[in-house]
Amino acid sequence: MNRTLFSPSPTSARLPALLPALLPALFLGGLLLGGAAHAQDAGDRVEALEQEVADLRSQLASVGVLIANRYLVAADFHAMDEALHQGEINPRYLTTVRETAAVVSALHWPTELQAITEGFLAAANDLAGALEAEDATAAAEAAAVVHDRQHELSHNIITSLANGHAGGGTEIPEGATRVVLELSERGGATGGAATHVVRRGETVAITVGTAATGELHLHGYDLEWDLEAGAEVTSVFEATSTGRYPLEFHPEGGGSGIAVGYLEVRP
Amino acid sequence: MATANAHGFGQRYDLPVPLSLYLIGAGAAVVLSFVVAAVFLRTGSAEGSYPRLNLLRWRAGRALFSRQVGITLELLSVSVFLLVLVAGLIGTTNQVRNIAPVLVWVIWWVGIAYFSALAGNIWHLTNPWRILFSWAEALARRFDPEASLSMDLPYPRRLGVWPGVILFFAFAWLEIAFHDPARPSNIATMALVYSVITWSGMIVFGKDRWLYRGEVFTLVFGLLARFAPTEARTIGDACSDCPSCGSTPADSGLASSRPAGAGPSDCVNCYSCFEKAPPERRQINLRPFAVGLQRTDAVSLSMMAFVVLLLATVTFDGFTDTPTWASIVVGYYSTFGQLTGIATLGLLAFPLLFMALYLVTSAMMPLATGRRLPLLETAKPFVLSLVPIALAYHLAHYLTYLLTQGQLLVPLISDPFGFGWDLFGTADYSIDLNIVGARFAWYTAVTAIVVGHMVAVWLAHLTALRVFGNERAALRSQYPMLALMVGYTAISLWILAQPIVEAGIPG
Repeated sequence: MNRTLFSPSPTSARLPALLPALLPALFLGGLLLGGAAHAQDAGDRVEALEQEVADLRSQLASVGVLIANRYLVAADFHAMDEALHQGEINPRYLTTVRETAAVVSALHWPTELQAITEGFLAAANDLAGALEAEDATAAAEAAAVVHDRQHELSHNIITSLANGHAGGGTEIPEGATRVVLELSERGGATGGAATHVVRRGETVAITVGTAATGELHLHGYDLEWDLEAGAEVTSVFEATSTGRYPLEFHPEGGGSGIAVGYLEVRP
Repeated sequence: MATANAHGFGQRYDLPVPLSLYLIGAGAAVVLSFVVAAVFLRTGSAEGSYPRLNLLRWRAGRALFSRQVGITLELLSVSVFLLVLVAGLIGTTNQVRNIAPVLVWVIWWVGIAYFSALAGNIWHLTNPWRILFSWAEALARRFDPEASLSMDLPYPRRLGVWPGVILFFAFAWLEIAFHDPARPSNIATMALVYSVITWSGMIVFGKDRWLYRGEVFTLVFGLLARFAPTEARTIGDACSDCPSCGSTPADSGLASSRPAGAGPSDCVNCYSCFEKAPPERRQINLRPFAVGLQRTDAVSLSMMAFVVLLLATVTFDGFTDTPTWASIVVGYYSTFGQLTGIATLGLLAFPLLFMALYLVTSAMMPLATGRRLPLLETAKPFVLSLVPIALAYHLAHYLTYLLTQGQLLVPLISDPFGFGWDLFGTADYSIDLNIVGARFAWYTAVTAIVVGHMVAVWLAHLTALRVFGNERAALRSQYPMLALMVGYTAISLWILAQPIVEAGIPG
């Protein structure tokens, strides 16, 4: 079999001259491949845009929180509480409770207000149920809870706004490099797992808005954040080690991790 | 997470090599190829001798390679082997809280490879399957001096190192394609199954005969140790009836440890000979790097297949980290939810592609000189000259991985089973990622690849001088080989310049 492969051919003499010419071609091929790999600069521009969006979102969040507070105060749960304790059920109450609850649940709340918001919504639900059933005793009881929670929530909203935190939950130091992630309902990053480039020694402020509940893990640095659907988390850390570190989202209740981005810390 | 690991265990956090370094590396490889070739045009010599320094001449050297040190190493190695089994069987299933994955995939598989290539063949001294079988044989002889644990059936010559080839493929599949190679219980199972295979081989054909034909790690680490600057040499014709290298020189992994047909000669890195020889005929030599890859006289077809398979899987392993691979498999993953199938295909395709390219190159070599030679007469001897390129890539690829993930051993030594122990007070140690900087890793990687490439070109020229006789023909024959090597080196560099992505994970 080998013999037939090696029958002498007239072109064989010219082969050695051709082969050195092949080398640059091979080399160029390699270069092209490598160049393509580095055409990631576009990613950096996308990142700058993402940051602008994040800043705008943070401002919008403050406005939204203020509006929600107006609704909470205007609902006058104090009056409702007192009237219900005297056995009066006004059909207007049900509309007020539903409307307020709708506004509160529609809003993208800052992390530190989420727990308390949910408490308020649960109480409002109970109250709406009791009002629908026209159960005066239960409604009076629920109204007291709603009233309390509303006070608590309003108070916290004002404190949060005063501290300038409403956009995120963590103060972002001046000069920090912003990294912004947006996770879809299935936990994937909208727009795919992008590479976020920072320099070693920089302060990184990572902001994650998510429609999925679970845990976000920055490998290597081993930082973990609990994420709740609809919430936004901001966290600040120092990029102390060079490398390329995957950001992985682990959905609640197990399932395989999802790479939602990479943090590249360059020297 | 399980689907994300291209490697046996753990993750690499390497930054891609920057474009400028990538270009410099590729350019240097091309230019230096011609420099090496030009130098050899003038000073080439097929002489297989090289400077050696026998370490056993000194007391310190004799102490280092003494029986006591050997036995200590053996005890240590068997203890580690048992620790892996126990940790795998009773320890926690959490990969990073159990000592078995880091011991097997980082310290052993990567660490021993590094040591074999850069220092010497330590696997022979620490191979637990060899040690335990030897101990069992010694024990049997205590009761009956005539006893033998082995049936010593004649080993079919045509089988060569094919058992090693098949086992290596199985191992590579478990490392790269299998979805959960780092699960401690899987590690224990693999070790137990492999023990059964290895000891069966030893029982049927004899310990030494199986070691150099079917014990895949003796073959892998032995191949890498040919690059190392140390050798175990047996002086004189000590091994004409040696089961490992003597009787049928072309069928074992040690083929070419003795130049064929050269009459009484020394034998290198055959421990069967070394152990039987009287002390005055033993040498542990320091030697230049890579000269062990020169003696390519009797590489068998199966050994050639083994080397090509090894090279291809090393490259494929790196390729599975690249965005290119991720984009190839994304459709497959979204349909099947796993990557095992397509990784198996890749694991089959890469060696076949490598073999095809290599055979075409081998066919072109005599063509370039205008001579006729059977294909395998060029393919077999030249295959070892490619090893330095693969080795350099392997070292570059795993450097930071070994130095960072290897640190996991520190906390795990205090709590090997994940039971919450703190035996040595180190359980809370966390990995220092700054042990090497990115720049250091880049420069080391590119330097290693360029140097590996030069060594490969040099080795191929030495072989060409022997195969083609005169310098002119040797030089002309090397154009195809040079093209192959530049391509291979460019691929290695290209992989290092790729950002590591986790394939199969929806973005």
